Amino acid sequence: MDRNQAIVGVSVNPFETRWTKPGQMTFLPNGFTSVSELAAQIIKDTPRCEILGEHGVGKSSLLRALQSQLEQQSISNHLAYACGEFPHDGPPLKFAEVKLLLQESDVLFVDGFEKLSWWTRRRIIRYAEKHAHSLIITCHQTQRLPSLVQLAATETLVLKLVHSLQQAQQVEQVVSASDVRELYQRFGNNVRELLFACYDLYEQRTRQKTSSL
Amino acid sequence: MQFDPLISIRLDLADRAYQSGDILECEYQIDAVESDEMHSVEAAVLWYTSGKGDEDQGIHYYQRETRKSRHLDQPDLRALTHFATTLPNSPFSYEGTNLKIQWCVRVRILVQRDGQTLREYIHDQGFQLQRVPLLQS
Repeated sequence: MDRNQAIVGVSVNPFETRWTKPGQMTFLPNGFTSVSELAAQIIKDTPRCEILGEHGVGKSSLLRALQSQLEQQSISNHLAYACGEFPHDGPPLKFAEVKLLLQESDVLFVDGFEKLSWWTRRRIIRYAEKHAHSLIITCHQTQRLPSLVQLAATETLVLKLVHSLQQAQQVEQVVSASDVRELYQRFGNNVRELLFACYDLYEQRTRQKTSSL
Repeated sequence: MQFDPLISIRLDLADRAYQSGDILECEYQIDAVESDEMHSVEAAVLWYTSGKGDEDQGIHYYQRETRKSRHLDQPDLRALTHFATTLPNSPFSYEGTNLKIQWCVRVRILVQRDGQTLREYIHDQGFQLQRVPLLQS
């Protein structure tokens, strides 16, 4: 989406939810094989698999990157959210809806698979296996499907992420590399919490700066 | 080389500071795109929250025009278009630590170039909705 935003008299915090929510950030490859290789792996070897990782490590962004890779190869695919894009967006997906999507698309991605009930998850996996449909899911804990990739937030990745978020909004690098290292020690793999802490730090510093002027 | 469409929005108040009950007048125009590439134009006056937590938004005014719906004497969707709306009593623009409420006029266009899939372009023009000052005796 191309969006130019002119905001009157309101400062923009680059760590706001609108820039950091699932799937909003550009996927940053993290040491493993490239997105195109993962897409090829889905098509050739593992039509049903899972992407594992903690909050904020890039599971949804990877799904979107894979989706656009498949679109370039003219492979029909669909990205479904287990409960809408956000928990309050809508009721959980029903088995009948997923069944229809599996039949309509060559590859079905389901983001936040664990938000579905145990029974719905089992039925979806069994149905996809029985009818040889491609199903790629994201989850925090294994759903006993072959693993496509297990994502983890390294310090280098988090440094890149924080830098790129501030750069994208064309603001000063108020949250520095040393801040990020310190926060990484505190929050480790939980990037969502780390970005919340960055938000607070950014607000605190910009407000201090404004009041001292 | 193909440029992205250019969306221009102009509000009637230069400082873009309105009070509840004011009439907001707006003009918008689309450039750098061919007339037959335009699929639809949507204009909205809306507020949205931004900040650390969940997001919310409310649409106060909305209009949508397509080539079919456009009036016959001006079928070009790119042409200068005017609309006006009375602003509501709430919510006021607000800038807090964890939450901000922002008002804007948003123009969203759908463009189809060279038989490709539809692509959307959005441009926001922010403004402030302020409380009417209380009269002092």
